[in-house]
Amino acid sequence: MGRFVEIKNLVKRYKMGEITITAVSGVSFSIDKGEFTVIVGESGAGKTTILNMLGGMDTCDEGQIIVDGNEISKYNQRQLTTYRRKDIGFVFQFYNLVPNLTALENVELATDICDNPMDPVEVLRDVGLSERLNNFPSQLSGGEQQRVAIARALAKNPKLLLCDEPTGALDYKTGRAILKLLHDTCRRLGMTIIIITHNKAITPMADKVISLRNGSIDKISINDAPVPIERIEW
Amino acid sequence: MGKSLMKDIFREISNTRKRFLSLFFIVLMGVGVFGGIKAASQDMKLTASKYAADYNLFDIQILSTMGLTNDDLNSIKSVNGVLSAYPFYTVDAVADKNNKGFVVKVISIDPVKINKDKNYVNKPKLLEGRFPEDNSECVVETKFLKDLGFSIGDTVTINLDSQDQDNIKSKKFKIVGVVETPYYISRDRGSSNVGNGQIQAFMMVPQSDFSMDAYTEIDVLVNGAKKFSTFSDEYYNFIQPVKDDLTKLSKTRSEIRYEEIKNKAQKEIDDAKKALEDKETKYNKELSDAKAKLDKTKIALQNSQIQLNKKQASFNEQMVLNQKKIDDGKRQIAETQASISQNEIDLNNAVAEIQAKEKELNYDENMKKLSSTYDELNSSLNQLNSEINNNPSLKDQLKPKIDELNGQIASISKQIDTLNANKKALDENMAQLNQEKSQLESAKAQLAASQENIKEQELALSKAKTQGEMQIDNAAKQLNDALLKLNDNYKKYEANKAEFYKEISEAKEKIASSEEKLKDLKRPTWYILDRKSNIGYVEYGDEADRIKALGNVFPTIFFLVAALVSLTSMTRMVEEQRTQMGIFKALGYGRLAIMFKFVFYSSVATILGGFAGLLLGFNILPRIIFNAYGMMYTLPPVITEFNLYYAFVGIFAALVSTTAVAALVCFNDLREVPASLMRLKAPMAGKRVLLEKVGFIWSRLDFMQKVTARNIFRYKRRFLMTVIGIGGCTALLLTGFGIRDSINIIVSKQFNEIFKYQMITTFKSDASKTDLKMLTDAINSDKNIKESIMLNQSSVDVIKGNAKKSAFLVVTGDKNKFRDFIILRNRNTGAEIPLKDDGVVITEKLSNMLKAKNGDYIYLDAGSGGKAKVKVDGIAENYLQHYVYMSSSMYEKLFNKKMTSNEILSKLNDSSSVKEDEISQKILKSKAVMTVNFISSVKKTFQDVVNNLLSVVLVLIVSAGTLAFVVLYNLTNINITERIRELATMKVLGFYDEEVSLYVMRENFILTIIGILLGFVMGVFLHRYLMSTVEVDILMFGRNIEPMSFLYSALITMGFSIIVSIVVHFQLKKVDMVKSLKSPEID
Repeated sequence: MGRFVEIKNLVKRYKMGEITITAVSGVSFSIDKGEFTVIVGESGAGKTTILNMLGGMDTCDEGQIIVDGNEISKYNQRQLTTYRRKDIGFVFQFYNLVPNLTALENVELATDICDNPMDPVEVLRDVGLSERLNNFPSQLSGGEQQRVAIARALAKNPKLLLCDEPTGALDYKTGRAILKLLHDTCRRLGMTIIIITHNKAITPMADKVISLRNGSIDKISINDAPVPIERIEW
Repeated sequence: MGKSLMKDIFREISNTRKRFLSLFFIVLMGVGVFGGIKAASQDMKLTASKYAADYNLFDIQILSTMGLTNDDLNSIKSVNGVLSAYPFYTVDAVADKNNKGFVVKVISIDPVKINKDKNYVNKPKLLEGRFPEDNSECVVETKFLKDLGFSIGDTVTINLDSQDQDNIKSKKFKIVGVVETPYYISRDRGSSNVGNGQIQAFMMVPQSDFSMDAYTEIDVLVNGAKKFSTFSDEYYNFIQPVKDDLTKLSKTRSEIRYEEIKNKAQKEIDDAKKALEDKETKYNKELSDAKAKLDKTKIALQNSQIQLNKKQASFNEQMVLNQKKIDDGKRQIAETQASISQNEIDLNNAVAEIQAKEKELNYDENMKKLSSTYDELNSSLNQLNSEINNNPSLKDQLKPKIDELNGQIASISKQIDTLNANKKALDENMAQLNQEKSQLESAKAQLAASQENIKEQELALSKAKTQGEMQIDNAAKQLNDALLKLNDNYKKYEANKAEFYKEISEAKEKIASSEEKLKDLKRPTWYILDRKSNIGYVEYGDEADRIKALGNVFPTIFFLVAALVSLTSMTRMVEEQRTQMGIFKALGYGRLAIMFKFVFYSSVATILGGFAGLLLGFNILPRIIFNAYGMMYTLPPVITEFNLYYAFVGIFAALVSTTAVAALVCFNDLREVPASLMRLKAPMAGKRVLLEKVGFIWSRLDFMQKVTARNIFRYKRRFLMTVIGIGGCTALLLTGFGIRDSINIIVSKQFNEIFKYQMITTFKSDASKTDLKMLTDAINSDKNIKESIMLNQSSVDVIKGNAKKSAFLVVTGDKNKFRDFIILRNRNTGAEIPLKDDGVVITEKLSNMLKAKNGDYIYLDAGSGGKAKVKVDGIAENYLQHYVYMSSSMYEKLFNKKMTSNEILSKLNDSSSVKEDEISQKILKSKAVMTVNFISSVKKTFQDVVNNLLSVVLVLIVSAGTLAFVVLYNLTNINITERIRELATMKVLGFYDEEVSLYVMRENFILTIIGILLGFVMGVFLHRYLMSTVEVDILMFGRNIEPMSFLYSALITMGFSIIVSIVVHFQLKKVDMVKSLKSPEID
């Protein structure tokens, strides 16, 4: 049996006018099911590009992406959409909640279109928002909004939960709480979670840490004994 | 202005091309349609006005009830302000070719001056060929050639009405050219009392071809009037003084003309009288001579008759005589024959008697017996004697015996003698008888001869008789012939006499009527008319005004919608640029410098769009509208001008709604400190919408529907903008279609549903009974006429309070039949309105204008006919003209006089133009008839007007449709950019493209539907308002919009909405999730 996520020689180039920038050049790694992976790197190291490709939001120019035995890199737009719809949960730095929908509705927006969703109310309760179900995003704090975003991603019951700087817009304390939530979720549900961050400080909590530099893998390290978030300070 | 700032502006423009262009196009559409339609009316008027000026259309036209003379002309020329004056003869004639004929107006031209005088009035525009140079040449209009199938070089024959026979010398004209005249710009050439009553075309012939004793009209140009638009009040004010002077002049000229005519007429009458007298004497003499001659012949013939009779009598007498003679002869013969026969019988009897006697005598036997006895005796004697002789003894003994014998012999002798005597007597008798017999034979022969003779005579007589009779018969026949001829001559004489008397009495009547006329001769009236009398120009002006009225409302709404949309665009732009504004402000740029960007951006788009729109609008719309009217009017190509006023108004208004708004929004934002500007503007807070409180609906909606519902109601501004924008477009479309409905209804309802007749014959109410009888017979006998009704129609002023309107008063004597010809009904309910004897029915528009409701009292002023107050008893549906309907008994009650008919309405079986022509020609032969009109032609004329308006409406519909598209596209675009993050999020969440599109489109469709519904409401009001504005006095447009029009406007709007959706769908597909989600700038 292969790895749950397998990335081989991934290359992504951007054309900016006449210049071609290679954002990702030949990255290969693999992630096991249920692993809590952190991808770290400086701004422009190519981590978001990798995540986007992995999440079916972008296509690669070379290489393979295999998720749960399916070669995503060969998918067309529609297949990618279906893939996003069913297999992927996204959490963004800026939450990207629909301002016109309540917390519950934002979750429902996602669960409405997938095959095997969790109960939105339960998920929200799980992320600690049982009191805020019917609040609009504008009535929620940043952390709460991010919890809604996580709940929205989780409720889809995805194969992969991808988080792009989930704490980037949050204060320290809230950021820790979110990370804890993600970590707990990973452990509790056996969810495969990939977090992108430029904050190397949180790497100890990860099962696997992938460091990127200038579009290539700098180092892949596996923590045999991840440290709980409560014990990490930065 | 800083260089970088300018750079920023230009980059902004090139980066947001789509926004810039949509702003540009919206302004283009708004200003273009606004300016174009506004200018159309002006351009229409300008074109016609210039045509009138270029070709010297009369400023003032003078007509007189008795024609105009050269003296009149000269005095007119001398009036101050008169630039030139030209006299014209006109006469109506029928021009025909191949049994097809139509009424033409023959107008005189001055072949010399037409080329030389630049102030020649009503100068025809030569299209082809040349102007007439000689008599019997003519120029005609294009229609003339086309309709009659003539071409240049052909000869036209015209037929004149009997009273016009002498008005024109030549009846044949050679076509030498084709012209147009400013005098006739519309198709209407007026009506006539010849032919079918409808003048179809004009032809112009040299003045010298006319032989009328007075001009029909004199047309005048006023010095300096050309500088005014012929449709302006200034123009009419300018020519007014000249009109006034001419009016003054007309008083004196009329008097002079009156005397002239009176004297002339008197002389004519006197001459006629004298001529009549002469004629009478001459005729009388001729007649009496003829009579005398006839009588003489008659007497001669009578004599002949008598002689003949005599001859006949004598002949007959002679014949009788001759016959008698013959008869006598015959009788004699018969008698002779009878006596001969008797004699013969007697003779034969006698012979028989004799023969019997002879037999009785038996002579031969007796003789023999006697002879033998004698002989025996003698022998016995001789024996005795011998014995005596022998024995004379015995003598004495024998003597006795001898004696006895002797005695016996003697006796026998005696007996023989007697016998002989007897025989002799018998023989004698026989001889006598024989003699008699031969006598008888000769008599018989004689008789036969006589008989022969008589036969001959008889033959001769019968021959003579036949001959005589033949002779007499011949004579009788001759005489008879002569008599017959005489009778004929008598009859002829009588006929001549009757004719003569008729002639005389007619001549007398004519003289009498001339005298009567002369007695009634009124002073001639001059009609001093201006261009308002030219139906073509008046109608054209009305059309232009109608367009203008349309231009007041329609483009304004159009403009408002466009302004609304561009306003939204600009507001949106300013909002998007908040952060930038903050940066500029933080960098130390002043407010004005920052505002400049938006002002510049929007004003460049607006001014460019505005000018482009004006260029297009000023050129295209007036052209389309004008060309729509081109079919109806003969005018040179449209002159489009760049109308500075509307250009300024349009662009200024556009600038206000874009640039000024942008500046205002920007100014508002700029009051904030840079920091707060640079900070994200808090995203619009989510909120529950009212609908959520309506549980039973909300709970029924599925999740996406709920989201849609909330989105729709959340973004109120967008909601309003979209709904108003789409509503506006739908309203414009609906109004366009509605105008079409309203106009269409006039023809269909008025002429099909309300007026049920097809022919109107007007006749002189004072026509003689025989003429009238002829007319009614002609109408009643025509197989194509189904049914007719006589009624009276006259003009009447209807007054209520201060309002006074002129209308037609229609009076009917047969209320029941009337119902079949004109349907009086309530427009809304369709219920029939009965005509009663205690009130009148008036038409709807009249009722509206007078504010006269059921039961109100109105005054009817029939001029000299009297004035009356009457109750309104019903308000009837009607679209064209105003009518007051009344029963004859009501009329008699009101005006104290009997109603006299002057009009016949008829229903036809066949309304084809051929059949109608047939009927009208037949009916127009009647002297009583004034005009024959057909609904079909009225309908056609009106249909033309309708079609013109419809093509204008089409322009409006297309414009509105285009606007609908631009508005929808723009608003959808704004919607998408505003919510790009949300849409990207959805894409990330795995919504398929079509689901994302649907998410946006569902809202759009709902907004579109709401917009359409709003548009329906707005459209109905707009339409109603527009209809009452555009409507002219005598017209009532339909008030309702047909259901189909609602459907069409909705479908068109929906169609555009769908097209926009498709375009947007492809745009949404291209939305880059990654990019959209990365930047927190927008939201």
